Amino acid sequence: MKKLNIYIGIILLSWLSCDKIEAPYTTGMIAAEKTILIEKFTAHECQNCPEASRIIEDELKPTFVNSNDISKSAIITVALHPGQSNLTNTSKNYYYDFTTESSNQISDYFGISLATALPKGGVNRIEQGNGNRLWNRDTWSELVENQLLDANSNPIEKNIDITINTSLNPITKTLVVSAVINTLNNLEGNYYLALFIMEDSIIAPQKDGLERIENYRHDHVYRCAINEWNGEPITIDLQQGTEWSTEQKTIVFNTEYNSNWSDDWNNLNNCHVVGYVYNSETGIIEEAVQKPIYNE
Amino acid sequence: MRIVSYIIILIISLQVNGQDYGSISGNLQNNYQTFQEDIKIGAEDYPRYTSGYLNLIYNYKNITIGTRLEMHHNAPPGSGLEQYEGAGIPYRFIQYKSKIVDITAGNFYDEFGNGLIFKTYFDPSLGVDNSMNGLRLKFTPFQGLYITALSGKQRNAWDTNNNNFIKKPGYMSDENNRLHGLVSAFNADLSLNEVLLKQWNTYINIGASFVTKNESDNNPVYYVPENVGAFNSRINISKGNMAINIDYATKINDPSSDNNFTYNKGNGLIATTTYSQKGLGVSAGIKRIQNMSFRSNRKGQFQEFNINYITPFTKQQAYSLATIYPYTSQPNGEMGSQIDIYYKIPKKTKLGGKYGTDISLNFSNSFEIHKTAIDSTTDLDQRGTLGYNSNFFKIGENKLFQEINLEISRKINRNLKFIGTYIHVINNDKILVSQPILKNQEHEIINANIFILESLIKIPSKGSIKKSMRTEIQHLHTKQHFGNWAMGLIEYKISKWFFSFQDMYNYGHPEKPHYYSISSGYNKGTNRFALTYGKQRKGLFCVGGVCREVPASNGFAISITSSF
Repeated sequence: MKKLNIYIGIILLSWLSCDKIEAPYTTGMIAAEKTILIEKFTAHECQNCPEASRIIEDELKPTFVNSNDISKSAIITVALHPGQSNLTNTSKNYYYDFTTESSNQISDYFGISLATALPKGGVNRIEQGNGNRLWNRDTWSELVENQLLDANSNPIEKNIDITINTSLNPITKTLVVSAVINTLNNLEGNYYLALFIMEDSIIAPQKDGLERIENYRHDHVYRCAINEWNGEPITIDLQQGTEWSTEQKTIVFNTEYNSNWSDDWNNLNNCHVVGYVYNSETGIIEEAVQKPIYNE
Repeated sequence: MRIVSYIIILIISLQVNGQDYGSISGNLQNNYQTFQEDIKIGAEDYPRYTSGYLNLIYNYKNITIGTRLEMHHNAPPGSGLEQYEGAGIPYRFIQYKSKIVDITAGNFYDEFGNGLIFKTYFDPSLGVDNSMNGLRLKFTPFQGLYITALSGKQRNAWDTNNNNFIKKPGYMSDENNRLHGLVSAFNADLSLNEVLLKQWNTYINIGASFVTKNESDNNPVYYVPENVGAFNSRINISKGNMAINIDYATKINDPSSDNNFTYNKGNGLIATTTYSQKGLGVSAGIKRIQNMSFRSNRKGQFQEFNINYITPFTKQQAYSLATIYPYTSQPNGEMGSQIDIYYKIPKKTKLGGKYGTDISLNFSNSFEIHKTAIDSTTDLDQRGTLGYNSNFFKIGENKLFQEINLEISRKINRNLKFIGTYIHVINNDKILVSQPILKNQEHEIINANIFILESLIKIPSKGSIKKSMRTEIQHLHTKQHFGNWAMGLIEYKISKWFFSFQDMYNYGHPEKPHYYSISSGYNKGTNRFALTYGKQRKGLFCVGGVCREVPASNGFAISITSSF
């Protein structure tokens, strides 16, 4: 009887229990082999968007690092300002137009509409059912982990290597880009490579909580597609040891490519080329890479 | 579970071979709505939206079996109901009830005290269904002591892994932790007068509850608690015309999307007192809530996975213009008070008139809670910290909401009654950020004065056909947000039919939109059919301090409800 009471007590305790967590509350670094892409849908009048950026920059990027170089993150992030949202409209207080035609096409692909509450994010374009690839900010960390680590918390092997080659003429602001893909492990299905330009350190107003920050620094802003918004097909089977290259592409940093790249614009130092390979059937991104347009 | 259901059905079917077949009851609701574009009010063209549910309850002696079929098709974007797209049976239960025990297996709703740490309910208009799916035992060992123990997982819309239209209800799952999403609770209510103090004329009821939720620590960045517990104690004392009710709850660290992954404890206090005598009623209360959002999924949003419910401390408004600037309970932190006074000026007096005059006054307010940084290097509410320090007795920096309601109701003669209402609202939309705004407009503190005159007219008629008419004239004055509104309504009832026309005119808005609607319907017994054509403004639709954002719409709506 006494034993039975003890058993019942243990069951009740386990049933009605509490876990008190003591500081420090954060875990440590996690090394990963692959690199993933977070497509963050944001807007200058979105008051919760800067907090979403801080989650990526202050929590996710320092936690998930590259196993070959822990000073580098295993996450690339790009900020897309969807024209489908009222929060990206320009006005007297928020005069800078971050929207672009190709980022709007990507937003269409994600199903962004007037009714979409921002911020939202795509993590390697994983789907959560019913074609929805948009996730709330507090789900991103688990999705990133699932993309980078296996069930035993070991790094998932990288299947392809993407190398981006750039050649910049700073006088004419002309960039020549090409990419090479090396297959490390066999991949089934059809794949596409998409390349785009993103820009850091754009100073423009942003709502942050209840405040309007006049000189907010906007980083990782999507500027223009290099090979269409959805990229181009990779024309070989990605079997181990194979190599595939794109043709050379030319981008001129002028208003034809982005309305903000006027003659006065001078922020070449803060521009990057980002490339990612995705499966055209599932839409899921296999690997991503980022490179400054100035050769390091 | 399925096997148990079959066994019980079999037992019942054997029993019904006798004479008693038991009874079936239920209710049905069906809604159909069209959406046409109207640029002026921001309404978009959507496919026709159909929704409905059917509740069926079979009762045989001590056993009750119930189920609900639910369906949503083409829920409009931004309505908060998109996740309910599909059809299925999200609710089914078997219950055995005797004087001593009440056992329910399957889905159930329940509430402990004011709901500070546990309340599950169904409100299809709000998109709320956080029913438990599990087991509940209610036990009454002797008269005066009431014990409840329950355990289960909460429903959240449908299972998202299924793209078919026919769905299974959505429950949390984790292949490595079968308890993931499990909510377990224990509650005891003791009526002292029934047990010990039988001769007392002071009535004392005390209650205590403990609720815990289990959720896997899947967060790779933070250590998060897998078991979060909340405790609630309450006491109700009443003597003669007076009653006092105190309800206090605490919750341990529960980092979540709601509190920006901070590790502070939560607590909540609701204290109310009432006094009543013939012709006079007074009710007053205070409320303080700190970090009391409590969900079985720490990443839940809006109405998802709520385990508890924060009682609103504002008057629940029904008049159209009075619902424009509602207040939503703030589980992260609020501190407020409410006083409600009702007085009836006696009939056949100079002031009261022939039939007497009813006066009711309501005042409520709500503030932020006091917060200071935990140290000089940590921001307020910074993620991965304790968030803030708070002085329990100190009011926060900003007022969130305040409302004064004065209502005077007077019957003029047997056929005519007037109700006049004045409301003054202060809604701090700068912080609450719940109102839609125009381009170039900022969220701001909204001050509004609302005047309402309602008349109820009985139209004398011969025979058994009853006729009546109701009119409303309303005006909202504000210099902020969308400016002034005027509203008129006329409703005519003849026997079982009703016809109504109303127009809400936002003449302070740059576009000066009209939100008119014309309705007709038929009531017979517990059945009702209604047809409406009109426009609905974009804004918050609230019930009991819980709100859902509704998009602007323009079109037809058909509604059928029936109980049997």
